[in-house]
Amino acid sequence: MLRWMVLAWVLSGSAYAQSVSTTMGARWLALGQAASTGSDIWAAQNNPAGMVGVTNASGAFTYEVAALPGADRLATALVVPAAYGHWGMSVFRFGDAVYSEQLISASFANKLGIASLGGRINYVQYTAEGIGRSHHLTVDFGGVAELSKTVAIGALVTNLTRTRKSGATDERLPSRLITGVRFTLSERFRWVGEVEKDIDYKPVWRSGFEYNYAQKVFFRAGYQLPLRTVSFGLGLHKSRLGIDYGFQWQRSLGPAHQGTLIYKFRKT
Amino acid sequence: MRRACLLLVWCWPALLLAQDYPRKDVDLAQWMEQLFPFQDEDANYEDLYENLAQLLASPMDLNRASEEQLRALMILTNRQVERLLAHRKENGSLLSVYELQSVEGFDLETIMKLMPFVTVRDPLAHVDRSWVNQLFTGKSNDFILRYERTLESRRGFTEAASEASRYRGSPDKWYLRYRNHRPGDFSVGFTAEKDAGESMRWDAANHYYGFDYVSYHAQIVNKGRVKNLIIGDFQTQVGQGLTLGSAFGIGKNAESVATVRRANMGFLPYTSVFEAGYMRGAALSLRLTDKLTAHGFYSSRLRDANIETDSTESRGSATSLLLTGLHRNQPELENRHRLREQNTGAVLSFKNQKLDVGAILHQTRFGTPLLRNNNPYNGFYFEGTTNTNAGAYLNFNFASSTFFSEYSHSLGHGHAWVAGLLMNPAPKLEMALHLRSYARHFYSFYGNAFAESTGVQNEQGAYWGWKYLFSRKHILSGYVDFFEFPWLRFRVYRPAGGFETLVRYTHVFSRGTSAFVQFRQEQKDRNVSADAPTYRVAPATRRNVWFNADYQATPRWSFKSRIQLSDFTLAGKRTLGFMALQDVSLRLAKWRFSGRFALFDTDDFDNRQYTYERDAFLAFSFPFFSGRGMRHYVLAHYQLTSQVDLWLRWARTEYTDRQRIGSGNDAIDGNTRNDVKLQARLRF
Repeated sequence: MLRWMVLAWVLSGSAYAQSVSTTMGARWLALGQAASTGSDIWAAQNNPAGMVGVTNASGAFTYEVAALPGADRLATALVVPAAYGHWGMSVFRFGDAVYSEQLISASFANKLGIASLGGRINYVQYTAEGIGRSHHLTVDFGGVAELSKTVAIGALVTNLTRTRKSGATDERLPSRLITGVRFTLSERFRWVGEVEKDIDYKPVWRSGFEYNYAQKVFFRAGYQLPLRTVSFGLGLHKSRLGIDYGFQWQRSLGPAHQGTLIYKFRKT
Repeated sequence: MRRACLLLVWCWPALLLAQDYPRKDVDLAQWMEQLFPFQDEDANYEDLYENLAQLLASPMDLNRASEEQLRALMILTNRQVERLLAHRKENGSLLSVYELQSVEGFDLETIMKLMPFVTVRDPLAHVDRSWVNQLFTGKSNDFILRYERTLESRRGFTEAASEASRYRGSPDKWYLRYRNHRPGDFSVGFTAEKDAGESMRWDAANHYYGFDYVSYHAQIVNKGRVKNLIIGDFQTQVGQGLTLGSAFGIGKNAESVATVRRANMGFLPYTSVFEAGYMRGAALSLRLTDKLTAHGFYSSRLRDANIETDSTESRGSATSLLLTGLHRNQPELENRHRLREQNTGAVLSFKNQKLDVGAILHQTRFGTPLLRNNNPYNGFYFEGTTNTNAGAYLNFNFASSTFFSEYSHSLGHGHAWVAGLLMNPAPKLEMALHLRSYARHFYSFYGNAFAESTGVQNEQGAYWGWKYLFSRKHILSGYVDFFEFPWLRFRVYRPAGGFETLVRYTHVFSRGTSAFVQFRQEQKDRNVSADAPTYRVAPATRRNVWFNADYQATPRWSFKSRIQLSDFTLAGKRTLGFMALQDVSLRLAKWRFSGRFALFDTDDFDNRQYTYERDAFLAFSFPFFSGRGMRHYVLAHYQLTSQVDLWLRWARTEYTDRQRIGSGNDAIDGNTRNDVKLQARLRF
């Protein structure tokens, strides 16, 4: 019970968004979760427009261990480049038997000149022991535009339909607008930044950088304001297999570790 | 701004030091102003900056300067330092400063910026002169005499002050400095100061030798096996300053990359007037082999301290160390030179081209035990008579990056470590990463590592600084720093923390004309109310925006305009601050004039506005203003001959919201304060 109360407090008061963050991938955790311009497989879970950057059909799994018992997150994703557009699927789960949030998402993205657009439908389920379970459908839209070799911008709107959590109250699922930018300052270095505005909360600033050493090794670090969140991580990507590790420390939640495995299928 | 500075430096009539290329004195004012945009803590910044200025004021020999000395200038990037060292190794000594143009990665702008701080000595000029000969006949003597006075009378000088608290001396402030210095060779000198209210007297029994504060040193450098020997007052700067740091390490600033790493300098003569920052005794660095050096020092001196004597205990105990160096009335004089402090230390260092590593041992011993008044926030302050720190530092270069770190352990108490990285991850980008962790029961009385707080204790943090040079015309720099304080602090009665972030964009229009916009935000926990029986801790947010333009209208006239805005929010209450200032500088034959007119208007002390003001050579003025009023000053510099310089400065503050300035013994009745300063400098 105590655990449930602590969790409820964390989710309601001190955390900025009312549901937990659904941004996944150890790479993005390390980059301060500034994932709105991301173009890897985790785009299926983060900003769907980024899926057009995925060249091979890929699958990935990630698991995050939180300091707070029962607050682990996990996700799995699959992205397939097809004759028409890129198709993706992802599953997300947060919590334990006492309280959990689960998403099953199907996403689609297509390239339009320098821009790419993506959309996603989520089936959302909240479960709280002793209180019950609720199901919802939400829709997200995103875009990424490569303005030049150096600059790209991204945008994501979640829960366009402003879905209610329950008919009895006016409490709604989180609606957010995220606008981000990515600077590729050299072949080895990129910098990402984004601002997220949740309708009901103050804006959050996220930023991070990724440094590629010897082609295969990636070093990353990032932060979030005013959440007082610092993160860093390492990546090892060799031919078709990728391993990422991310660490995040947040003032209110403490440390979290996330490990990711990515596998790229051979092109058919 | 930088360009304006350079042009002024460049255009000034050449003042020829013997065997030197035409260079002008370091224009420290501009450089310092750029380095220190904000002061938040209660440290005495004027003293700290003065100490740094003393270091920079003597130009270093480009051919003899070590990697660490070059870094200590905080001008060159990591890459530039490496390339200069490589150039020196491949091509031998530089023949002139202009040769820097042929070093890869050095543009004219960097060279101009560097020129005031460096020199290249003509190897032929001294070939048959010993350093002893040079010491007595060389033209490297520098003598400064300064007088200051506040024209209005302060309460402590009047009958209104009680007998005990009345100031014993005159309201005049005197400063005297002599130094004979040849970089990389020798240095001898002394510094003496009498603050306003202190008396001049000779009383050897009470360590009074005319001036209230007298500091002296003699140093020789690079004589056979002796790399460095200092007798008298010295300071230490080893590793990242966890154990042995001098007072010239600086905090976060708009120069967000180069200033993060502390230079590993070893021992330096002390010439500053910061009365709590030095050691007195002897320090020696001995070359064991080409790569191995042994350093040792011993210091014994009396410090100012509050001593409480218990009737049952004859020795008593010291409740606090005092740092102001002011000894004007009975209570201040009673605390003067009360506590014997001895420092002993040894460092063994190994250095080759890539690697710099060393072991450090340092002990501080007090003649009277330190015992704090019991408060929760100082529950982990040092108590006792002896503290010993053992540690090591490790710096190395790889793939055009520089790693630096230090670890230290207070025996029987806590640990501390720092680690950082300077890198050029992309062609126009410089970056610094820095992590730190100082235990609440780690003690270092001379530590000055990178930190949010003033001491190296009770703090953990992560810093990311960067500087992006789009082109010569556009420069973007910034940093973000997160910090946590695991134990309570003064006025923060809960484990707390916060973050600070800064972004500055500089646009260079032309040589001498540039502008910048700077935004800074700091969020830091603090007690909401000190009056309540229980304390609530909440984040306080302070934001500052600066708009600044420096422009040179003609070679003679240059101007600066600035607007500073701030707000401060705590527990839903928001207050504002504002300051606008206009500077004018004029160069007229042997005269230089600069003046300022400024207006300030702040709701409260939390919005106080700091500004850097021009001052005489090696004098510093970093006042802050709160309330409502105006501030102006005029500084005249007259170059009488190539050996003699004279300065006259008059500053005036007028408040419109009060009839009394300051509080306690420093209070001035009336709404106006005038300060006058006179300085003469003689070089021969």
